[in-house]
Amino acid sequence: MRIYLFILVFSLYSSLTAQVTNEQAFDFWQPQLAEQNIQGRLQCMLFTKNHFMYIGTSTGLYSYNGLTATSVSLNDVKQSSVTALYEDKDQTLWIGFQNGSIVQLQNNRAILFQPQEGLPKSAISKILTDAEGRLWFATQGEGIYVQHQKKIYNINTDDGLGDSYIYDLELLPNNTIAASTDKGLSLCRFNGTKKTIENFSTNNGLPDNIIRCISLDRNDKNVIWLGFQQGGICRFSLLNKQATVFPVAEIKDKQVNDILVLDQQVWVTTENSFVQLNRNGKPISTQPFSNPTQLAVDAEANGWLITKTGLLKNAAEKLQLIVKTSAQELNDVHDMWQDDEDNIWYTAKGAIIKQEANSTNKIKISLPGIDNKTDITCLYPDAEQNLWIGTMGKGIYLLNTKTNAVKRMGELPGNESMSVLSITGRNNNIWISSLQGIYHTTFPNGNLAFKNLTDLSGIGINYIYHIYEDSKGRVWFATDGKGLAMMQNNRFTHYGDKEGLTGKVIYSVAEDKQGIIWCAALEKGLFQFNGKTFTNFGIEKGIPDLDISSLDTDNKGNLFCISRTGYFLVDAETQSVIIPGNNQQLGMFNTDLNSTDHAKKGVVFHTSNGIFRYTNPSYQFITQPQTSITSVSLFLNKINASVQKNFNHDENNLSFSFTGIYFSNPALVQYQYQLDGYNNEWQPGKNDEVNFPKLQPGSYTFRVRSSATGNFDHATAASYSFNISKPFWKQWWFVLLSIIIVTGFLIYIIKERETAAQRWQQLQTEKLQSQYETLKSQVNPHFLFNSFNTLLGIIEEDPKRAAEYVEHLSDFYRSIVNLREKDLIPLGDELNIIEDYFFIQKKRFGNALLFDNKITDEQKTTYSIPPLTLQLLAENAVKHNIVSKDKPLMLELFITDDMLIVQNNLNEKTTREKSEGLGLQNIKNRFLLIADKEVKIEITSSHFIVKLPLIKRI
Amino acid sequence: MKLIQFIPVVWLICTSFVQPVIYTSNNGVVNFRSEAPFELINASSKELKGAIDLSKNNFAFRIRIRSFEGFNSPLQKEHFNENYMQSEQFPEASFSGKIIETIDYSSKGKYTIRAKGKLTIHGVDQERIIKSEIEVTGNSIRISSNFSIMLSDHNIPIPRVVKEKLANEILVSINTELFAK
Repeated sequence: MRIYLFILVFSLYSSLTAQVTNEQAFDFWQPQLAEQNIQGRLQCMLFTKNHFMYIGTSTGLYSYNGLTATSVSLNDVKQSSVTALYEDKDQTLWIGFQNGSIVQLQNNRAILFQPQEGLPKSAISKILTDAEGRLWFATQGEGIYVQHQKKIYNINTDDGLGDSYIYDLELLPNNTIAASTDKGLSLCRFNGTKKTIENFSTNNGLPDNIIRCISLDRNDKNVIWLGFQQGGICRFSLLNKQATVFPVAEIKDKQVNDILVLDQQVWVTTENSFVQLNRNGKPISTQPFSNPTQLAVDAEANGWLITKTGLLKNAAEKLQLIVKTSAQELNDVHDMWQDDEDNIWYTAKGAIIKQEANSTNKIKISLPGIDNKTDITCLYPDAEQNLWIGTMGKGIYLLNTKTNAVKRMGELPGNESMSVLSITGRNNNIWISSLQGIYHTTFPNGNLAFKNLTDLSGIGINYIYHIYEDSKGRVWFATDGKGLAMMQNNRFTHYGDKEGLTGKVIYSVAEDKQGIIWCAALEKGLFQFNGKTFTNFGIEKGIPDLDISSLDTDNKGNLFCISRTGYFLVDAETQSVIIPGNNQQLGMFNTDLNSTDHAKKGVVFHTSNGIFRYTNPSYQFITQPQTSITSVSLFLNKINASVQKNFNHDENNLSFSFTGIYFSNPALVQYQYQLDGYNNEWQPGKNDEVNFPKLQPGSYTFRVRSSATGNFDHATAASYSFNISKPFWKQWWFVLLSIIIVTGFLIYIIKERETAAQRWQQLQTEKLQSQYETLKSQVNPHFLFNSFNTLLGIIEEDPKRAAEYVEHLSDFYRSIVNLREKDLIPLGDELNIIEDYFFIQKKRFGNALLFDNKITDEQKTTYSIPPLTLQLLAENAVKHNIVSKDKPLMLELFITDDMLIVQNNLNEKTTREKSEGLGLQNIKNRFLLIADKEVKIEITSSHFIVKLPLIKRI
Repeated sequence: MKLIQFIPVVWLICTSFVQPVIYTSNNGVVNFRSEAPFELINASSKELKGAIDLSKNNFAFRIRIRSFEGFNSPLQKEHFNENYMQSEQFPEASFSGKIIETIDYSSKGKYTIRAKGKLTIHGVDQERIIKSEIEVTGNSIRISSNFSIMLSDHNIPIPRVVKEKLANEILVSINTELFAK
């Protein structure tokens, strides 16, 4: 018994789970965040104006681009569970937390919101800014806060607010804030001094007091929708303050978690289900979920849903599954029609099936006289809502859609065995293409006269895949092998290679909103007609497949195409290709030619998973990836790109991260980038990152664009301009400064050289003069006469010493001759000369001439002296003074205070020898020129002192 | 801990001056059931303490976790207290908040109300709205309520081994009669 029970429970359980998975696939919710490392439970989501998505969890904040989720750093801001997200007009992100704190995120920098009044302790349930840009935030228990002129004001029950626990907050017209509480709806206004609050509760006709959510109506400013804890949902008019309650069984008595009002639909999440309603509150579908919470719609018109287990996305109103049936039955569907009452008619084996509007009830209408083997090829609803049914080999049937009565089209000659390829029409004209020929009739005129056009056309009996009458009354025939034929005023024109129509096999023709005729050709993609010729529109324009089996127009007149790989559109205004979603999950696309239906609400098509309707929402939505640069890095470290745009010459390694957000089909996004100033060509890239190392100084603009089709003509681009400055040695001011310095230096050198040359010349003159003076004095006949007299005396006395004397005399003269050319000679050499001189003179004067040399040997080598300086001074001393035994002439030579002192006692001759004073002056000049030093001459009462500056030997 | 949880009750008592606006009870019954595929667990306590302030529409209830009796085995009770509820650390569960509906307590009759407040079990707070039947008898208020608690909401872990023996959703029923103070 127990085992039996277990089996029963188990089988029940497994069948339940199977049903659940089936249901989820049914509504095409795509699970998101697969393999993404998201911490905590998902709490809330937000789409920004930049088309970014942020997700708040119980542990932090993430951004998501459809493929990868990135944790958003809130720096060291102490955080708890994220409970509210809002983006203001300045694109600052406001993040509200469970613990009552609020964080602002601007340019990726998080700042804790710290008003001086402090922050609430209760969870933040909603943040928004009003028409004046004032910040409002709602709390779960402390009422509403509003920031007015930098001050925070609290609005709570004391001010008349229904309750302090706020679930939701919305900005209404007239700068009114709607707050939903445990005690009803409160409409609040605050002008800085006065708080005006209007409360609405069950007393005013609301079905419940606990209002868990408010949703604005996208199509009516003066309407809000409310979701209740136990009362379902209601529509609330702000004009007459009246609630319209929708008693929806699917929602009744369930806690409503969120409402989202779309274009045609209203979505509701309850504690355990997701419910789609039309705007009159009639349910379309219900799906079980484990605690689904927030609903949202992005700028691409995709729907998003947070459930307890994760995040889901679907194509929202763009794509509806309108008939769900078995794969077997779908295999027999070749054409379908959604009538203006939303009933759907589609072909089956030997029958037509009608699915009644807003239900899954199906009625099978059999066609008399045909069996299961006969294919029903096409359906055409005429102006009186009769359905024309074309078959293979059994002709055409007419179905009265009001009575469901079927009759054979007896008026058509040869109908019994006719094989129909296509029935089309416009207004009262009906066109039939069959293997037996082309027929035309007008309807209704009471008299169905069919005209056979086969012979007139010149096409011959051939496959005509599609006949299309355009808005100008031209009729287009898509042929199998002969291109396109066009009939206007009963005259046929043929289009082929010559007119640019290179495809011979044409499957389908359509006219877009702009009046442009398009046709689909076998393996050639699309062709576009400009009135005279055709232009190919192929892969390079972004179409994903060249084999297009059906052309149609959507509810806004854009070209709608079906191929084996899915459906896509060509925007009639921009001619950009739009791939609205991920086709793979829709199943195998049916490639029966011309099997779409142009219904009032959109294009109906079918795949192996069901019959779908693509609807272009009435509002504008994004159809191309939105490109943005997410970060700029310098040497792989992120920088604040909104501030930093100038770099030094060595800051030349930049990386750019970018993203093209296309939630509809993120895997298709590809990039092109260029760095203007480095390479002006667009580079393709599948990666969302690029690095430029070693950039030269200059001005650059990094541009990136993204596309989902491979064609970038309509792509959005993002850019970042920056400068890398030249190194300082390449700056103009540095170059100028350098030139000035170098020029100055050159001028200085030239001047210096000039002075040096002058000095050198002067020196030469002085030297020559000195030599001349010396020679003159030495060749002075007195000196020679005296010397020879002395010599004569010595020769007699001591011939040996005479030889020595002559040696000294000759040394003296040699020295003079050898050294006179030099500028400077060692002090020792000069002393040798003077010693030779004294030797010679002493022979004459004996002890009357005294020479006291106190120069050390070290000093002799350390210092230099202009040649013959000392000799000249000694000679001067001898020349001007009396040299006698009574008054001996004492010449002293010593070094003191860095001066070489040459001094002799004064004993001047009364008769002064002729002197030009040239000798002393010459010495002075030479010292000035050579060493730039002054020679000092002091004459005391007893001494004549010459102070020669010491010149160090180099 | 005990003192803190007493504060709302004491406070409610102190702030009553006029009329019998405070109703209290010390012996309410709380029953819980776990209906797992392999085991049914049932336990109850008669120690539910509570108070309602009619003037403010506030209420506060609390119960000692160790007062639950009636498990399938003494060992199970031990596991309940030691492993799951950690009764040493979190000795009490409480629910306090406000009553959403405004009811005329002066007229006898049965009403359905929603009690909204903070449900604290295992030290974890949950904001809950719990639907209850109340009956005004004249001198007392009878309250009965059935609701469920998800163990995962209160960080009460279910080991993999007992997954088939312990349900995540615990069904709770409450019956109590409060008298005017």
